Amino acid sequence: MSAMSPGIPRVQQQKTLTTVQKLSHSDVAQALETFKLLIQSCYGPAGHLKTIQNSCGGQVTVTSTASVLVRQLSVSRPFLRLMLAAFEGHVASCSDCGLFCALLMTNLIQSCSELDLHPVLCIDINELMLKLCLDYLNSDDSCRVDVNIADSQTMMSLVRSVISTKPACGLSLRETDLICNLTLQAFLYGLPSSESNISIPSLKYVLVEGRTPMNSHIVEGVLIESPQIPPYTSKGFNLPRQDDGSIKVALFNTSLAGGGESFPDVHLETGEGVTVDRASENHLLTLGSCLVQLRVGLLACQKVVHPCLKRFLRSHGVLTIDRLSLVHIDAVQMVTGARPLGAVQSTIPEDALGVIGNLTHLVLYGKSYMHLQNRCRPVCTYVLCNRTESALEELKIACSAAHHVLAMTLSRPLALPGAGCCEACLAAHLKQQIKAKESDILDDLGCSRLQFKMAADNFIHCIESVARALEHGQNSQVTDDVHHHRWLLPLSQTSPSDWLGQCACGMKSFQAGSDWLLLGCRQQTSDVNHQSGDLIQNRTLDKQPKQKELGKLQSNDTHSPNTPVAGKSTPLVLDSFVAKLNALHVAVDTANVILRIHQTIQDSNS
Amino acid sequence: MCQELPVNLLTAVTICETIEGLLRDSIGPNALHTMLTSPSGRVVITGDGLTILTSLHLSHPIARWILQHVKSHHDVTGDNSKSFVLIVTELLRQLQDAVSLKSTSSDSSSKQDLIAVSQALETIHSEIFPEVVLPELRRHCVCLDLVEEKRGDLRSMSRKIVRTSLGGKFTMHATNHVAELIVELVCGSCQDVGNLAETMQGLINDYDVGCLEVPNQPVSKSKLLDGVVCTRNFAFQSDDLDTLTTVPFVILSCSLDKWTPDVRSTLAAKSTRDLTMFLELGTSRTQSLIEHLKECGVMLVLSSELLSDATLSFCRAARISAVHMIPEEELSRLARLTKTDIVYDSTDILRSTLKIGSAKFCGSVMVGQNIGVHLGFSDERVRTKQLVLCAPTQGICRQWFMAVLNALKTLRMWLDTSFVSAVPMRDGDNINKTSSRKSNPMTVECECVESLDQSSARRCGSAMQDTTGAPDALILESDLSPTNNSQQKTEMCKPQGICIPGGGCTEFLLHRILSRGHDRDWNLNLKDPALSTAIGILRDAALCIPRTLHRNSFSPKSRKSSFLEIVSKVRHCNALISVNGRTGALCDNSDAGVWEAMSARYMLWRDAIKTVQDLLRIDMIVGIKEVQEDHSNTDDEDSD
Repeated sequence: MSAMSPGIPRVQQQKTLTTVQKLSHSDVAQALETFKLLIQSCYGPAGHLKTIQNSCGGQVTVTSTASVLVRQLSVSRPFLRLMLAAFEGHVASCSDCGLFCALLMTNLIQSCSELDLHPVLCIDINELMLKLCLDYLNSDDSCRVDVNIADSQTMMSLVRSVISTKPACGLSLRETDLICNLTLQAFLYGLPSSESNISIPSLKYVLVEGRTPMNSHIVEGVLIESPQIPPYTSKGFNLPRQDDGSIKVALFNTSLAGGGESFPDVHLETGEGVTVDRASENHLLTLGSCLVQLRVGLLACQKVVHPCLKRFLRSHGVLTIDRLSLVHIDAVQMVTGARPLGAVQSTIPEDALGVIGNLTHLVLYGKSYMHLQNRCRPVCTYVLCNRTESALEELKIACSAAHHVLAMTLSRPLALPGAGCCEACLAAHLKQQIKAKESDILDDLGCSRLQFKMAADNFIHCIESVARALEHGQNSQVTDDVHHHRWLLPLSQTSPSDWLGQCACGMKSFQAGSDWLLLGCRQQTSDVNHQSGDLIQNRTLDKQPKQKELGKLQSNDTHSPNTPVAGKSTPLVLDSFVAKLNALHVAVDTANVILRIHQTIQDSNS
Repeated sequence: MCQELPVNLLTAVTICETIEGLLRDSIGPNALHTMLTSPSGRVVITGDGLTILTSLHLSHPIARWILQHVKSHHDVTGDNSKSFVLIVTELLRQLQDAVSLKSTSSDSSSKQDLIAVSQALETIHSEIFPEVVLPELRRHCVCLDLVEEKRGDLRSMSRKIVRTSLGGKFTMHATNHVAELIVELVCGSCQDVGNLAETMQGLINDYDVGCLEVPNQPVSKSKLLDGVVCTRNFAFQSDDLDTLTTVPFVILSCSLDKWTPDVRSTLAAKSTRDLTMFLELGTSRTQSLIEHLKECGVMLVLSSELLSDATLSFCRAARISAVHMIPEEELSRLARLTKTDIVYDSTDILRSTLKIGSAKFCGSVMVGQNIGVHLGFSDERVRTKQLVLCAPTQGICRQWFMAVLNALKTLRMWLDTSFVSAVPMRDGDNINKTSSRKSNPMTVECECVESLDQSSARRCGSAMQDTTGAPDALILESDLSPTNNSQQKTEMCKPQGICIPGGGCTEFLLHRILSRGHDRDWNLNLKDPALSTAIGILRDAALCIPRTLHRNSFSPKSRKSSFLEIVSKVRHCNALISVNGRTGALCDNSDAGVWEAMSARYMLWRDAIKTVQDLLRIDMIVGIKEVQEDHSNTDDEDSD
């Protein structure tokens, strides 16, 4: 060639540690199966517990909660890491329906990779099905229920479905009732009454280990742990009070430890006996005098207060609480209504001061607390008790999740039937929709009818599988053709009235003349007849042994009363609308992202 | 010290084929993605060619050299990195086949052949493309004037271009949703359509702060917010801030507590009282500055620095809301948009000439799980929007972030007409002769998109039925007759958006143009065997893009729907046709709304040819070894 290349300054001799691998189906399947088993076994109120301990022998955690599992699990496979990241993101933003999200995601990835279809086609159809689900759930005709915040029963149902699905809390039925009650009370107590922009304050917890959950209760106001006060002290606080009996509070978020600021390029020359320490003490004492003058009864400070100021204030009967830290400063601000002061000044604007109704010394299970009360401001502390550290931690997580669910319900007062009924409704709706819109959909997707049916049926089956996973080791779950809710067949064949009373979520009663279909059976959607807007089950169910069994059961139905059987007044099982919708979204979106991956490039260069 | 490593064509082909193998499945609407994992555990999923190539840490100099070319092309166009690799590989492969046919010839003569082909490629690059290919391509493109009356058409076309750019990277609904947001971002930020290109450039420049990534949310929650969002929450928010209709604000890039005297000073404190006063000096000064801001009517302080507890306390007392630790880039953008001064020295606050900004409203806004501060403006001159991009994980969010930036670059390419002005226009040249056969001269910018859509349906229908050479039924075509050349050129230089259907349409056209090359008088020496070979190679290589699209489609691999069948149809069809990347069938992608920036496509081919041409001239890699310094003398000195 005409000219020699000037060359590259240095031929890179070192080997780059980058591995390119095609993502094989078998490789993914094994890891997914393990992950699915883990998630599935934890799912629902009958979920199995997991004991987690790291290899170094750290703390043992017993849990079945999504948020704990996701924090503790460390996975090596990148696609599982991605799934966990999505799962974690959902739990962080909604606190509930985490396992539903993970299970649906895993089901979709696993089953779509087994289909003999182009991944992109599966992705398109999954997305289409998601859209149909969302349209349905957002419509007034869906199975969703309106939540009236004033209706304590409905609100309780929402709380119960969160707390009762955490077996690691170790709660009995009575304890569950109490905890649900207290959680709802704490939430309602924290709601401001008259403000236009409602902001829900975070709930303060005091955790007590070694007591039964029945000892849990709610304390109005704020509790600040004060180990410096001996529990046996019976002497109360004699603080300066206002005419109405209230106590003025000054709240500082800056250090009151003295020591002035220094300016660069300024040299200081002082007279004899004049020191910076002395001057700063003087400065603090001026502030103290101002506080005394304003008849402040309590000085609360996020950081350190200089002993001289403490002494001065104590001599004037003013109580000082310092080192509140970020943990308590917000609660104190909330309960007092004080404006945090950030500067040490000789004058304090009076409108920056807050008030409390009373300040008492409270001893709770052998520990000293200062109890700040103000009936005018809705702040409360949740004293949560449980037998073991692990169960207590799990209970706190469950209560926080329930509180979050209630807060989300306040923003969108809707709920969905729980206990797998929502999934059963979704599956029925999807079957109906794809039948009705099949021709339009095929034009848009550019695929054959068979391809579409394979992928659509797969999506529906995945949704139903999540509902079925609620029962561990029991396969007899059915759905009816009127309400399309989920019904559970008892293992022992008792009278039909025992199980026909109410569906799994408790919202629907048995309707005479209903037909049944095994939930999650792979039935071709074309077999479902569409009559008068309802899905009528095709009666050719005798191909599978389980279905034969069902047929036998149905023959028994002839002896059952034609009118709905009045079941026991069991509470409804409701799921958060916002959380479920988000979980559905995240699960399908993430599954689609993973299905699209065909190779991995692992960079091991440090 | 140097090491020589000969470079032959086979080495280049092997390298390119290895890279191509990694990218081939990621092309088109049915593209599959690659998961990249870093040593720190970060997971990124991408279908972006450049990102994949960069993550490979290529060590071979030729591979790195090709990567450099891909990168510079991608930086400008925001797209086409995979197509670039595909074309280069295909050209080299074809060339290798051509060379291997002459395997009997000696090594030196084969090198001479390659040099000759390289020179022929230069001719194609500098003469045939601008003079023959470009005018032909322009006959089939859609040009839209950037005028206010066509704002609707521009929106519609930009939507299609963005969808094409995002297509294959994400799911359909997510793509449609984000495409709408991008179009709204571009058109909503532009007051005068004539300045669309400048607006686009501004958006690209400010993209890092103009787009917020929000992980842990579904993509459908992505949204556009009018105004500007600062990614920090209020350190203090006054109760009445939400209700204000005018929010005067000041931007600080300094601390209000720090004060340095002009000269080095000495303070003499004779008594403790003096010293106490000195200790209060900083606080008093801060208080006076805040009070001054209050007197000026300022209701909001935005600072890139940390505001001290004291400053915040005074802000609370003065009921001035405050936001601190805002990234400097965000504040610079805000200052530029609102023409507000940034205060770098706290004493400047006292200046009477200080320009303070004014917002129509200010409030907190939830950005994922974080809270930011949202400023809106009533002033028509401050037309700006903030894009909030949501995705389930950080990695997917990053993927969207890059894809949207690339889509903006694609739109910029759509408005780039500089390549048109580079066309050498010669009176009475061969191109014009071909074009002047058309009896219906029209202006280049001519039709709106709708008319094209209607016409293209007819065009495609007739073309599909009669594949034996039906007359070209295109409505949008330019008449480059010799008489109106200068007028044409003037009109070409007007701000326009020029695009062409995607899905391999350009490549089919290129294939057709080059196939007919021998029938035309190109004023070129086509008897030159090297030029003939080069044109033949290019003609065949042009099909690599539609072939890959077809390969990645859902199309069953039957003989009836094979690519060979498609090629034979294309050869006998004069209409504009493309491959439907989803189904693999032939279609009119202008109907399907698949459009690409004409300049990007044109530049892609020229850059790829240039790369191959340069590659053919490389014969050796000279590796410079690091010279080991002889430390013996130094050691001796040390020991001494």
